[in-house]
Amino acid sequence: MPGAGTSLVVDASHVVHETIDGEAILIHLRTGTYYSLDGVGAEVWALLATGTDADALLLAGRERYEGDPVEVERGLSSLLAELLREGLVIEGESQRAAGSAGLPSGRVPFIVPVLHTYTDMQEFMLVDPLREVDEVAG
Amino acid sequence: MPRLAEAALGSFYAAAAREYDAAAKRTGVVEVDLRFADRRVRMRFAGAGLADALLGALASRSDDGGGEVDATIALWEAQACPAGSLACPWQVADVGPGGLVRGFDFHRVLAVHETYSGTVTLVDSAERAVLHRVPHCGAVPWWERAAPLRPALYWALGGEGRHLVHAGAVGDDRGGVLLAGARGSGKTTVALAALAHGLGFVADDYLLLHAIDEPEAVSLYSTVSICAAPAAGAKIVVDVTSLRHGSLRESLPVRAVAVPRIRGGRARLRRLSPAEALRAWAPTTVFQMPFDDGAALASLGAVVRRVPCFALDVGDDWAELARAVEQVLEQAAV
Repeated sequence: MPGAGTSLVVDASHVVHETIDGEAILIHLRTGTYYSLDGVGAEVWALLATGTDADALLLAGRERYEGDPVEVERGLSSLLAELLREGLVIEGESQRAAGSAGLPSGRVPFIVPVLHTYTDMQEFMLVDPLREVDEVAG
Repeated sequence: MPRLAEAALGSFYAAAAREYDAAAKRTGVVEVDLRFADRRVRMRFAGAGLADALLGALASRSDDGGGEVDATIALWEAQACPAGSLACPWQVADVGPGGLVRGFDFHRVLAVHETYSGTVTLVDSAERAVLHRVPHCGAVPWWERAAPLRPALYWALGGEGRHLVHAGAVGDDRGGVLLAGARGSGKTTVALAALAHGLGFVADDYLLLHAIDEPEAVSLYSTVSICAAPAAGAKIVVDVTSLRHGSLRESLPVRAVAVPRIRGGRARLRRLSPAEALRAWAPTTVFQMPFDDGAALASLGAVVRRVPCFALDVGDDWAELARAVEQVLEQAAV
Protein backbone atom coordinates (compact mmCIF):
# COMPACT_ATOMS: atom_id res chain seq x y z
CA MET A 1 0.00 0.00 0.00
CA PRO A 2 1.37 3.45 -0.87
CA GLY A 3 2.51 5.46 2.14
CA ALA A 4 0.61 8.43 3.53
CA GLY A 5 0.98 11.52 1.37
CA THR A 6 2.42 9.55 -1.55
CA SER A 7 1.83 11.35 -4.86
CA LEU A 8 0.87 8.99 -7.66
CA VAL A 9 0.98 9.58 -11.40
CA VAL A 10 0.48 7.41 -14.44
CA ASP A 11 3.86 6.32 -15.82
CA ALA A 12 3.38 8.15 -19.10
CA SER A 13 6.73 7.04 -20.50
CA HIS A 14 5.63 3.41 -20.51
CA VAL A 15 1.85 3.40 -20.30
CA VAL A 16 -0.81 4.50 -22.78
CA HIS A 17 -4.48 4.43 -21.93
CA GLU A 18 -7.89 5.19 -23.31
CA THR A 19 -11.25 5.25 -21.56
CA ILE A 20 -14.44 4.46 -23.43
CA ASP A 21 -17.92 4.15 -21.95
CA GLY A 22 -16.58 3.79 -18.43
CA GLU A 23 -13.95 1.17 -19.24
CA ALA A 24 -10.30 2.14 -19.07
CA ILE A 25 -7.88 0.18 -21.27
CA LEU A 26 -4.26 0.42 -20.16
CA ILE A 27 -1.30 -0.80 -22.20
CA HIS A 28 2.14 -1.19 -20.67
CA LEU A 29 4.57 -0.71 -23.55
CA ARG A 30 7.51 -2.38 -21.80
CA THR A 31 5.96 -5.54 -20.40
CA GLY A 32 3.54 -6.50 -23.18
CA THR A 33 0.73 -6.67 -20.64
CA TYR A 34 -2.54 -4.83 -21.01
CA TYR A 35 -5.31 -4.20 -18.52
CA SER A 36 -8.84 -3.01 -18.12
CA LEU A 37 -10.67 -1.28 -15.32
CA ASP A 38 -14.34 -0.49 -15.03
CA GLY A 39 -16.69 0.96 -12.40
CA VAL A 40 -14.80 2.15 -9.34
CA GLY A 41 -11.49 1.18 -10.92
CA ALA A 42 -12.08 3.34 -14.00
CA GLU A 43 -13.05 6.30 -11.79
CA VAL A 44 -9.87 5.89 -9.77
CA TRP A 45 -7.83 5.64 -12.97
CA ALA A 46 -9.31 8.87 -14.30
CA LEU A 47 -8.19 10.58 -11.11
CA LEU A 48 -4.71 9.06 -11.34
CA ALA A 49 -4.41 10.16 -14.97
CA THR A 50 -4.43 13.76 -13.80
CA GLY A 51 -2.29 12.99 -10.75
CA THR A 52 -3.33 12.68 -7.13
CA ASP A 53 -1.99 11.42 -3.86
CA ALA A 54 -3.05 8.37 -1.92
CA ASP A 55 -4.55 10.30 0.98
CA ALA A 56 -6.65 12.53 -1.25
CA LEU A 57 -7.89 9.54 -3.18
CA LEU A 58 -8.91 7.67 -0.04
CA LEU A 59 -10.67 10.78 1.28
CA ALA A 60 -12.50 11.27 -2.00
CA GLY A 61 -13.40 7.58 -1.98
CA ARG A 62 -15.07 7.84 1.42
CA GLU A 63 -17.23 10.68 0.10
CA ARG A 64 -18.06 9.01 -3.20
CA TYR A 65 -18.75 5.41 -2.26
CA GLU A 66 -21.46 3.99 -0.02
CA GLY A 67 -20.53 1.11 2.22
CA ASP A 68 -18.27 0.24 5.12
CA PRO A 69 -15.51 2.93 5.14
CA VAL A 70 -12.93 0.36 6.17
CA GLU A 71 -13.88 -1.83 3.24
CA VAL A 72 -13.78 1.14 0.86
CA GLU A 73 -10.32 2.14 2.08
CA ARG A 74 -9.06 -1.42 1.90
CA GLY A 75 -10.36 -1.87 -1.65
CA LEU A 76 -8.90 1.39 -2.92
CA SER A 77 -5.56 0.83 -1.20
CA SER A 78 -5.35 -2.64 -2.65
CA LEU A 79 -5.98 -1.28 -6.16
CA LEU A 80 -3.33 1.42 -5.77
CA ALA A 81 -0.82 -1.12 -4.55
CA GLU A 82 -1.54 -3.34 -7.55
CA LEU A 83 -1.23 -0.44 -10.00
CA LEU A 84 2.13 0.42 -8.46
CA ARG A 85 3.28 -3.19 -8.51
CA GLU A 86 2.38 -3.50 -12.22
CA GLY A 87 4.29 -0.33 -13.03
CA LEU A 88 1.19 1.47 -14.29
CA VAL A 89 1.57 4.32 -11.83
CA ILE A 90 4.66 5.63 -10.15
CA GLU A 91 5.33 7.82 -7.18
CA GLY A 92 6.05 11.29 -8.39
CA GLU A 93 5.03 14.86 -8.73
CA SER A 94 1.28 15.33 -8.99
CA GLN A 95 0.25 17.14 -12.16
CA ARG A 96 -3.21 17.97 -10.92
CA ALA A 97 -4.04 21.60 -10.69
CA ALA A 98 -5.31 22.87 -7.37
CA GLY A 99 -9.08 22.87 -7.29
CA SER A 100 -9.55 20.49 -10.21
CA ALA A 101 -12.21 17.81 -9.96
CA GLY A 102 -11.70 14.58 -8.03
CA LEU A 103 -13.99 11.58 -8.25
CA PRO A 104 -17.42 12.22 -9.79
CA SER A 105 -19.99 13.82 -7.51
CA GLY A 106 -22.87 11.90 -5.94
CA ARG A 107 -22.75 8.69 -3.98
CA VAL A 108 -22.74 5.22 -5.50
CA PRO A 109 -22.38 1.76 -3.97
CA PHE A 110 -18.81 0.58 -3.55
CA ILE A 111 -17.91 -2.45 -5.63
CA VAL A 112 -14.40 -3.70 -5.02
CA PRO A 113 -12.35 -2.68 -8.09
CA VAL A 114 -10.63 -5.40 -10.06
CA LEU A 115 -7.64 -4.86 -12.35
CA HIS A 116 -8.22 -7.26 -15.25
CA THR A 117 -4.84 -8.37 -16.59
CA TYR A 118 -4.10 -9.79 -20.05
CA THR A 119 -0.74 -11.33 -20.93
CA ASP A 120 -1.48 -12.89 -24.34
CA MET A 121 0.57 -10.26 -26.20
CA GLN A 122 3.81 -10.70 -24.30
CA GLU A 123 5.33 -12.64 -27.21
CA PHE A 124 5.74 -9.29 -28.95
CA MET A 125 8.20 -8.19 -26.30
CA LEU A 126 10.62 -10.73 -27.74
CA VAL A 127 13.06 -9.29 -30.23
CA ASP A 128 11.91 -11.70 -32.94
CA PRO A 129 8.40 -12.83 -32.04
CA LEU A 130 7.76 -14.65 -35.31
CA ARG A 131 10.91 -16.69 -34.94
CA GLU A 132 10.12 -17.56 -31.34
CA VAL A 133 6.54 -18.56 -32.18
CA ASP A 134 7.70 -20.72 -35.06
CA GLU A 135 10.23 -22.45 -32.88
CA VAL A 136 7.62 -23.20 -30.25
CA ALA A 137 5.23 -24.51 -32.89
CA GLY A 138 7.74 -26.96 -34.09
CA MET B 1 14.36 0.52 -23.51
CA PRO B 2 18.12 0.96 -23.82
CA ARG B 3 18.98 3.90 -26.02
CA LEU B 4 22.05 4.60 -28.08
CA ALA B 5 23.65 7.99 -28.27
CA GLU B 6 22.00 10.03 -30.98
CA ALA B 7 25.37 10.59 -32.63
CA ALA B 8 25.88 6.85 -33.10
CA LEU B 9 22.62 6.47 -35.00
CA GLY B 10 23.12 9.66 -36.97
CA SER B 11 26.59 8.75 -38.15
CA PHE B 12 25.49 5.19 -38.93
CA TYR B 13 22.64 6.56 -41.03
CA ALA B 14 25.10 8.71 -43.03
CA ALA B 15 27.48 5.78 -43.52
CA ALA B 16 24.61 3.49 -44.53
CA ALA B 17 23.46 6.05 -47.10
CA ARG B 18 26.95 5.95 -48.63
CA GLU B 19 26.80 2.16 -48.58
CA TYR B 20 23.53 2.28 -50.50
CA ASP B 21 25.09 4.62 -53.06
CA ALA B 22 27.98 2.21 -53.59
CA ALA B 23 25.64 -0.76 -53.96
CA ALA B 24 23.39 1.16 -56.36
CA LYS B 25 26.37 2.19 -58.47
CA ARG B 26 27.32 -1.45 -58.76
CA THR B 27 23.88 -2.94 -59.45
CA GLY B 28 21.92 -0.12 -61.03
CA VAL B 29 18.71 1.34 -59.60
CA VAL B 30 15.15 0.17 -60.11
CA GLU B 31 12.92 3.12 -59.23
CA VAL B 32 9.24 2.56 -58.54
CA ASP B 33 6.64 5.00 -57.19
CA LEU B 34 3.90 3.58 -55.02
CA ARG B 35 0.71 5.44 -54.22
CA PHE B 36 -1.33 4.88 -51.06
CA ALA B 37 -4.42 7.11 -51.20
CA ASP B 38 -3.01 10.66 -51.22
CA ARG B 39 0.58 9.68 -50.37
CA ARG B 40 3.31 8.80 -52.82
CA VAL B 41 6.41 6.84 -51.81
CA ARG B 42 9.44 6.48 -54.06
CA MET B 43 11.25 3.13 -53.82
CA ARG B 44 14.84 3.04 -55.06
CA PHE B 45 16.02 -0.56 -55.26
CA ALA B 46 19.70 -1.32 -55.77
CA GLY B 47 19.25 -4.27 -58.11
CA ALA B 48 16.28 -5.92 -59.77
CA GLY B 49 16.48 -9.05 -57.61
CA LEU B 50 15.55 -7.17 -54.46
CA ALA B 51 12.75 -5.35 -56.27
CA ASP B 52 11.33 -8.71 -57.35
CA ALA B 53 11.54 -10.10 -53.82
CA LEU B 54 9.83 -7.17 -52.08
CA LEU B 55 7.51 -5.62 -54.64
CA GLY B 56 5.15 -8.55 -55.21
CA ALA B 57 2.68 -7.65 -52.47
CA LEU B 58 2.98 -3.95 -53.33
CA ALA B 59 2.77 -4.20 -57.12
CA SER B 60 -0.84 -3.05 -57.19
CA ARG B 61 0.18 0.24 -55.59
CA SER B 62 2.63 1.02 -58.40
CA ASP B 63 1.83 4.36 -59.97
CA ASP B 64 3.79 6.17 -62.66
CA GLY B 65 1.43 9.11 -62.82
CA GLY B 66 3.96 11.48 -61.32
CA GLY B 67 3.37 13.98 -58.55
CA GLU B 68 5.02 15.10 -55.36
CA VAL B 69 6.88 12.39 -53.46
CA ASP B 70 6.08 12.28 -49.74
CA ALA B 71 8.84 9.87 -48.72
CA THR B 72 11.67 7.86 -50.22
CA ILE B 73 12.87 4.37 -49.34
CA ALA B 74 16.31 3.26 -50.57
CA LEU B 75 16.82 -0.50 -50.52
CA TRP B 76 19.88 -2.64 -51.05
CA GLU B 77 21.44 -6.00 -50.28
CA ALA B 78 24.39 -6.26 -47.91
CA GLN B 79 25.97 -8.76 -50.26
CA ALA B 80 25.99 -6.14 -53.03
CA CYS B 81 28.43 -3.93 -51.12
CA PRO B 82 31.83 -4.13 -52.80
CA ALA B 83 33.77 -3.54 -49.58
CA GLY B 84 31.50 -5.55 -47.29
CA SER B 85 28.57 -4.16 -45.32
CA LEU B 86 28.75 -1.94 -42.25
CA ALA B 87 28.32 -3.58 -38.86
CA CYS B 88 25.49 -2.14 -36.78
CA PRO B 89 26.77 0.08 -33.93
CA TRP B 90 24.37 -1.41 -31.38
CA GLN B 91 24.36 -4.54 -29.27
CA VAL B 92 21.51 -7.05 -28.98
CA ALA B 93 20.67 -5.47 -25.59
CA ASP B 94 20.00 -2.19 -27.38
CA VAL B 95 17.29 -3.75 -29.52
CA GLY B 96 13.84 -3.34 -28.03
CA PRO B 97 10.44 -4.84 -28.86
CA GLY B 98 9.66 -4.71 -32.54
CA GLY B 99 13.40 -4.47 -33.24
CA LEU B 100 13.39 -0.77 -32.32
CA VAL B 101 16.70 0.98 -31.58
CA ARG B 102 16.66 4.61 -30.51
CA GLY B 103 19.02 7.41 -29.67
CA PHE B 104 18.97 9.10 -26.27
CA ASP B 105 17.03 12.20 -26.97
CA PHE B 106 15.67 11.02 -30.21
CA HIS B 107 14.04 11.77 -32.39
CA ARG B 108 15.48 12.38 -35.79
CA VAL B 109 17.01 8.98 -36.56
CA LEU B 110 15.92 5.59 -35.36
CA ALA B 111 16.55 2.03 -36.44
CA VAL B 112 14.51 -1.13 -36.64
CA HIS B 113 16.62 -4.29 -36.62
CA GLU B 114 14.97 -7.60 -37.34
CA THR B 115 17.69 -9.76 -35.90
CA TYR B 116 16.28 -13.04 -37.23
CA SER B 117 16.68 -12.09 -40.89
CA GLY B 118 19.33 -9.41 -40.34
CA THR B 119 17.21 -6.75 -42.01
CA VAL B 120 17.88 -3.18 -40.87
CA THR B 121 15.62 -0.18 -41.46
CA LEU B 122 16.94 3.30 -40.73
CA VAL B 123 14.57 6.24 -40.57
CA ASP B 124 15.35 9.92 -40.84
CA SER B 125 12.00 11.22 -39.71
CA ALA B 126 12.77 14.86 -40.48
CA GLU B 127 13.57 14.10 -44.12
CA ARG B 128 10.95 11.33 -44.47
CA ALA B 129 13.79 9.24 -45.86
CA VAL B 130 14.21 5.55 -45.10
CA LEU B 131 17.13 3.18 -45.72
CA HIS B 132 16.39 -0.53 -45.82
CA ARG B 133 19.15 -3.17 -46.00
CA VAL B 134 18.56 -6.89 -46.29
CA PRO B 135 21.35 -9.50 -46.18
CA HIS B 136 20.40 -10.81 -49.64
CA CYS B 137 17.19 -11.09 -51.58
CA GLY B 138 17.13 -14.88 -51.38
CA ALA B 139 16.84 -14.67 -47.58
CA VAL B 140 13.64 -12.58 -47.45
CA PRO B 141 11.31 -14.58 -45.16
CA TRP B 142 7.73 -15.44 -46.06
CA TRP B 143 6.19 -12.84 -43.76
CA GLU B 144 8.29 -10.13 -45.36
CA ARG B 145 7.10 -11.22 -48.80
CA ALA B 146 3.48 -11.19 -47.56
CA ALA B 147 3.63 -7.77 -45.88
CA PRO B 148 6.95 -6.19 -46.81
CA LEU B 149 8.59 -3.12 -45.35
CA ARG B 150 6.16 -2.50 -42.51
CA PRO B 151 8.51 -0.36 -40.37
CA ALA B 152 9.58 1.59 -43.46
CA LEU B 153 6.01 2.19 -44.58
CA TYR B 154 4.96 3.01 -41.04
CA TRP B 155 7.29 6.00 -41.11
CA ALA B 156 6.80 6.85 -44.76
CA LEU B 157 3.01 6.96 -44.50
CA GLY B 158 2.25 7.60 -40.85
CA GLY B 159 1.52 10.85 -39.09
CA GLU B 160 -1.08 12.41 -36.88
CA GLY B 161 -4.22 10.30 -37.20
CA ARG B 162 -2.56 8.02 -39.77
CA HIS B 163 -1.24 4.70 -38.60
CA LEU B 164 -0.24 1.37 -40.01
CA VAL B 165 -2.46 -0.95 -37.98
CA HIS B 166 -2.97 -4.66 -37.50
CA ALA B 167 -6.35 -5.25 -39.13
CA GLY B 168 -8.02 -6.50 -42.27
CA ALA B 169 -10.82 -4.85 -44.20
CA VAL B 170 -13.40 -5.97 -46.75
CA GLY B 171 -16.45 -4.31 -48.25
CA ASP B 172 -18.03 -2.73 -51.28
CA ASP B 173 -19.51 0.57 -52.39
CA ARG B 174 -21.44 0.78 -49.11
CA GLY B 175 -18.14 0.99 -47.25
CA GLY B 176 -15.77 -1.29 -45.41
CA VAL B 177 -15.85 -3.59 -42.43
CA LEU B 178 -12.62 -3.42 -40.52
CA LEU B 179 -11.53 -6.83 -39.19
CA ALA B 180 -9.74 -6.37 -35.88
CA GLY B 181 -8.12 -8.97 -33.71
CA ALA B 182 -4.96 -10.71 -32.71
CA ARG B 183 -3.05 -13.21 -34.81
CA GLY B 184 -5.11 -16.37 -35.31
CA SER B 185 -8.45 -14.73 -34.55
CA GLY B 186 -9.86 -15.43 -38.02
CA LYS B 187 -9.30 -12.19 -39.94
CA THR B 188 -7.93 -13.98 -42.99
CA THR B 189 -10.74 -16.56 -42.98
CA VAL B 190 -13.37 -13.80 -42.95
CA ALA B 191 -11.52 -11.83 -45.64
CA LEU B 192 -11.28 -14.90 -47.89
CA ALA B 193 -14.95 -15.78 -47.32
CA ALA B 194 -16.00 -12.22 -48.18
CA LEU B 195 -13.74 -12.25 -51.23
CA ALA B 196 -15.17 -15.59 -52.43
CA HIS B 197 -18.70 -14.19 -52.20
CA GLY B 198 -18.15 -11.04 -54.19
CA LEU B 199 -17.02 -8.44 -51.66
CA GLY B 200 -13.97 -6.28 -52.23
CA PHE B 201 -10.68 -6.76 -50.41
CA VAL B 202 -8.57 -4.06 -48.78
CA ALA B 203 -6.37 -6.09 -46.44
CA ASP B 204 -6.21 -9.29 -44.45
CA ASP B 205 -3.61 -8.32 -41.84
CA TYR B 206 -2.19 -4.80 -42.14
CA LEU B 207 -3.58 -1.58 -43.52
CA LEU B 208 -3.10 2.14 -43.31
CA LEU B 209 -5.78 3.73 -41.15
CA HIS B 210 -6.79 7.33 -41.61
CA ALA B 211 -8.59 8.10 -38.37
CA ILE B 212 -9.23 11.81 -38.65
CA ASP B 213 -12.84 12.72 -39.47
CA GLU B 214 -14.40 9.83 -41.40
CA PRO B 215 -12.16 6.81 -40.82
CA GLU B 216 -10.73 5.21 -43.93
CA ALA B 217 -8.96 1.88 -44.49
CA VAL B 218 -6.24 2.17 -47.13
CA SER B 219 -4.82 -0.95 -48.77
CA LEU B 220 -1.09 -1.60 -48.50
CA TYR B 221 -0.71 -5.16 -49.74
CA SER B 222 -2.65 -7.29 -52.22
CA THR B 223 -1.76 -10.53 -50.44
CA VAL B 224 -3.34 -12.96 -48.01
CA SER B 225 -1.26 -15.32 -45.90
CA ILE B 226 -2.81 -18.76 -45.63
CA CYS B 227 -1.70 -21.24 -42.99
CA ALA B 228 -1.34 -24.45 -44.98
CA ALA B 229 0.47 -26.50 -42.33
CA PRO B 230 0.14 -24.98 -38.85
CA ALA B 231 2.86 -27.18 -37.35
CA ALA B 232 5.38 -25.87 -39.86
CA GLY B 233 4.74 -22.24 -38.96
CA ALA B 234 5.21 -20.89 -42.47
CA LYS B 235 2.27 -19.62 -44.50
CA ILE B 236 1.49 -19.57 -48.19
CA VAL B 237 1.31 -16.06 -49.65
CA VAL B 238 -1.44 -15.59 -52.25
CA ASP B 239 -2.21 -12.48 -54.30
CA VAL B 240 -5.94 -11.77 -54.17
CA THR B 241 -5.95 -10.43 -57.69
CA SER B 242 -5.14 -13.98 -58.82
CA LEU B 243 -8.20 -15.25 -56.94
CA ARG B 244 -10.72 -12.79 -58.35
CA HIS B 245 -10.00 -10.06 -60.85
CA GLY B 246 -11.05 -6.62 -59.69
CA SER B 247 -11.43 -7.66 -56.06
CA LEU B 248 -8.75 -5.33 -54.66
CA ARG B 249 -10.05 -1.99 -53.36
CA GLU B 250 -7.59 0.85 -52.94
CA SER B 251 -9.44 2.14 -49.91
CA LEU B 252 -12.86 2.07 -48.23
CA PRO B 253 -14.51 4.27 -45.63
CA VAL B 254 -14.79 2.30 -42.39
CA ARG B 255 -18.47 1.71 -41.59
CA ALA B 256 -18.04 -0.88 -38.83
CA VAL B 257 -15.50 -2.85 -36.85
CA ALA B 258 -15.87 -6.62 -36.59
CA VAL B 259 -13.83 -8.69 -34.16
CA PRO B 260 -13.64 -12.28 -35.40
CA ARG B 261 -13.02 -15.28 -33.19
CA ILE B 262 -12.45 -18.80 -34.51
CA ARG B 263 -15.21 -20.93 -33.00
CA GLY B 264 -16.17 -23.55 -35.56
CA GLY B 265 -19.80 -24.51 -36.14
CA ARG B 266 -22.16 -21.71 -37.17
CA ALA B 267 -21.16 -18.13 -37.78
CA ARG B 268 -22.71 -15.82 -35.21
CA LEU B 269 -22.85 -12.07 -34.98
CA ARG B 270 -23.51 -9.87 -31.95
CA ARG B 271 -22.96 -6.24 -31.03
CA LEU B 272 -19.82 -5.40 -29.13
CA SER B 273 -19.17 -2.38 -26.97
CA PRO B 274 -16.54 0.06 -28.26
CA ALA B 275 -14.37 -0.75 -25.25
CA GLU B 276 -14.49 -4.50 -26.00
CA ALA B 277 -13.54 -3.83 -29.62
CA LEU B 278 -10.67 -1.57 -28.59
CA ARG B 279 -9.41 -4.21 -26.16
CA ALA B 280 -9.34 -6.76 -28.99
CA TRP B 281 -7.69 -4.44 -31.50
CA ALA B 282 -5.39 -1.98 -29.77
CA PRO B 283 -2.87 -4.23 -27.99
CA THR B 284 -2.01 -6.25 -31.08
CA THR B 285 -1.45 -3.05 -33.06
CA VAL B 286 0.49 -1.19 -30.37
CA PHE B 287 2.76 -4.12 -29.54
CA GLN B 288 3.45 -5.13 -33.14
CA MET B 289 4.28 -1.59 -34.20
CA PRO B 290 5.77 0.06 -31.14
CA PHE B 291 7.40 2.80 -33.19
CA ASP B 292 5.29 5.71 -31.92
CA ASP B 293 5.01 4.81 -28.22
CA GLY B 294 1.38 3.81 -28.49
CA ALA B 295 0.14 6.97 -30.18
CA ALA B 296 -2.13 4.81 -32.37
CA LEU B 297 -4.29 3.96 -29.35
CA ALA B 298 -6.11 7.30 -29.40
CA SER B 299 -6.84 6.94 -33.12
CA LEU B 300 -8.18 3.42 -32.71
CA GLY B 301 -10.32 4.71 -29.86
CA ALA B 302 -11.73 7.41 -32.14
CA VAL B 303 -12.70 4.78 -34.72
CA VAL B 304 -14.52 2.42 -32.33
CA ARG B 305 -16.39 5.38 -30.83
CA ARG B 306 -17.56 6.46 -34.28
CA VAL B 307 -18.74 3.23 -35.92
CA PRO B 308 -20.70 0.22 -34.63
CA CYS B 309 -18.67 -2.75 -33.43
CA PHE B 310 -19.51 -6.44 -33.66
CA ALA B 311 -18.17 -9.78 -32.46
CA LEU B 312 -18.15 -12.36 -35.23
CA ASP B 313 -17.86 -16.01 -34.29
CA VAL B 314 -16.08 -17.61 -37.24
CA GLY B 315 -17.74 -20.85 -38.23
CA ASP B 316 -16.90 -23.38 -40.90
CA ASP B 317 -19.27 -22.20 -43.62
CA TRP B 318 -17.84 -19.41 -45.77
CA ALA B 319 -21.22 -18.49 -47.24
CA GLU B 320 -22.50 -17.88 -43.70
CA LEU B 321 -19.46 -15.78 -42.91
CA ALA B 322 -19.97 -13.66 -46.01
CA ARG B 323 -23.63 -13.19 -45.06
CA ALA B 324 -22.52 -12.08 -41.60
CA VAL B 325 -20.27 -9.44 -43.15
CA GLU B 326 -23.21 -8.33 -45.30
CA GLN B 327 -25.33 -8.05 -42.15
CA VAL B 328 -22.66 -5.88 -40.54
CA LEU B 329 -22.74 -3.54 -43.53
CA GLU B 330 -26.55 -3.45 -43.48
CA GLN B 331 -26.73 -2.73 -39.75
CA ALA B 332 -24.01 -0.09 -40.03
CA ALA B 333 -26.08 1.72 -42.64
CA VAL B 334 -29.10 2.03 -40.32
